[in-house]
Amino acid sequence: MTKKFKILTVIIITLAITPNLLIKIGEKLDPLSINLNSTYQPPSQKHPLGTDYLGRDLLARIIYATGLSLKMSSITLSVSLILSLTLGSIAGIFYNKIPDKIISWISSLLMTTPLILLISATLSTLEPNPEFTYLTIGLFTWTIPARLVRTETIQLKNSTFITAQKALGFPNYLIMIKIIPLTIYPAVINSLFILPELISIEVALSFLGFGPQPPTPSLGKLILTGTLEANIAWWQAIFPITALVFLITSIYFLSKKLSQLQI
Amino acid sequence: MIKNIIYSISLIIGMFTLSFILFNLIPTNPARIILGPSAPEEAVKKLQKELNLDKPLHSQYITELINFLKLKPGKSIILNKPTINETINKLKNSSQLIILSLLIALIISYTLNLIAFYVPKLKPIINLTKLGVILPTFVSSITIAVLLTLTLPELSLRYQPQNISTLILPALILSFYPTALLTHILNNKINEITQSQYFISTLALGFSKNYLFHKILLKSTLVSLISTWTNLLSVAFFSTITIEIIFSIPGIGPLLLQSITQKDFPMLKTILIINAFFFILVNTLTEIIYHKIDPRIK
Repeated sequence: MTKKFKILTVIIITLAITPNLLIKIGEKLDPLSINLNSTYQPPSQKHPLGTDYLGRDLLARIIYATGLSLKMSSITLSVSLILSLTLGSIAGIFYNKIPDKIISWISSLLMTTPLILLISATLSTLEPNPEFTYLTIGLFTWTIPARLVRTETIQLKNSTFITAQKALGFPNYLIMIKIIPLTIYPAVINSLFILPELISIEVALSFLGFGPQPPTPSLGKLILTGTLEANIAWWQAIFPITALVFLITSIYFLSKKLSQLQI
Repeated sequence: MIKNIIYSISLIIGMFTLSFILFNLIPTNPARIILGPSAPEEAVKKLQKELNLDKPLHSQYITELINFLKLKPGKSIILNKPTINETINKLKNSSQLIILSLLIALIISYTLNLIAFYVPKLKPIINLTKLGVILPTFVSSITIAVLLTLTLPELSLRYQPQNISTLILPALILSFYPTALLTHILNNKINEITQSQYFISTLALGFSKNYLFHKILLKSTLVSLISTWTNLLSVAFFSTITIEIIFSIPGIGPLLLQSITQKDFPMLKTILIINAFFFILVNTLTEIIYHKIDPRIK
């Protein structure tokens, strides 16, 4: 238990600090200052990754945008994790009863439709605001970890120590309070695997025009302009994509290592 | 089977209700958002009347539901055309692209596994494709699209409606993640079965490799293949939207982008419900097919 607690703390601290650190570094390197004398500069000593159509430094913009999108997706992850822990454990406790059926009906409703449609339709009715974005993405992505929490809860419910508590006459909500902490660790490790998916949703949303508004750089916007201007400036296309791929593969391998740990 | 159909009808009504909640119950005024903050009060009132927003909520809900059942959900604000025809037309193009890419994925994963089964030395190829599963479908498809535009700038990437062959390149790009996933799943199943007792005994009886692969291995992987395939339909939709925007293919993606930027709420509502209907239909059909293939599945 203590080792699990340590790992969880490390994960939470890393997810809280890394994005802010990246954003701070990006701000230091100045992603916003326009210099019309050096537009479309290829990579050089002064601008290691080149500049864009307004002469802004691409390295600073990529670091800032990566930090921003990591920050947004970690906040979304926590929203969807809280939702999945509560809903999943409720479904598990009331296995095969009405609450479980309602929750699994809602989750299959959300799973059958493409997420990006639901999220973008919802966001279009709201005012542009980062808090709404986190809430909306979280509201639609709790389904996968919730399933895990549900099966985990059903398994725990049949274990001897819970049966003993039931025999002693504990009410359902007290049993739930006992079970939820035990499902946190597998749920967090499992939801780390969804983090790449969340990042790509966030990038795709800024592709569709949601997310941070210009001049604030976002990975989606950088990739889109890079793709459209690939013939003029190859560095604008290749580096944001590389940053995204690097971010996602590193998160994947990290979460794979964590899930293979024997505790 | 009747239970399945009732369940999917309830899902469609649920989706309708969800979109109703999204577009009618949110405290912001849709008419005000469509017209912008500087529009006069009268114009907002008029549009509200046009969109049926001035009536009580339950009568709004019922009239909209009836309109949908009549397949007349209203006109688009921007295009001034019936939304349903436009959405179905665009969905046709999108589903063409998705299904083409998933067929390519199925064929490639089948051949890879067949080759690995006949020539065990070539197994590392399958391990290599496992790398493709790491990247989400959106990331992998966009990466390949960018790399292609960089390395082959003379390649015509623009889609031409008369020329179906221009769809093949986007479909190939889209099929990267599905191929990796299908190969992976098929390979896992094959590895599992080849170690089982009944497979070893059929091997000992001297059946040909062709018989073993097609009659024993493929038959028992069919259910999991079909379920992955239908799941991939909705997963691939994500990257299809972005690929359509990049390649300017007239599918759901550009329509979605247009309706979002111009706040065309009736259109968005129809896109949401029609797509939900499509995916729920596909899911129900596959569930019925499962029963035909393997009656043991509950």
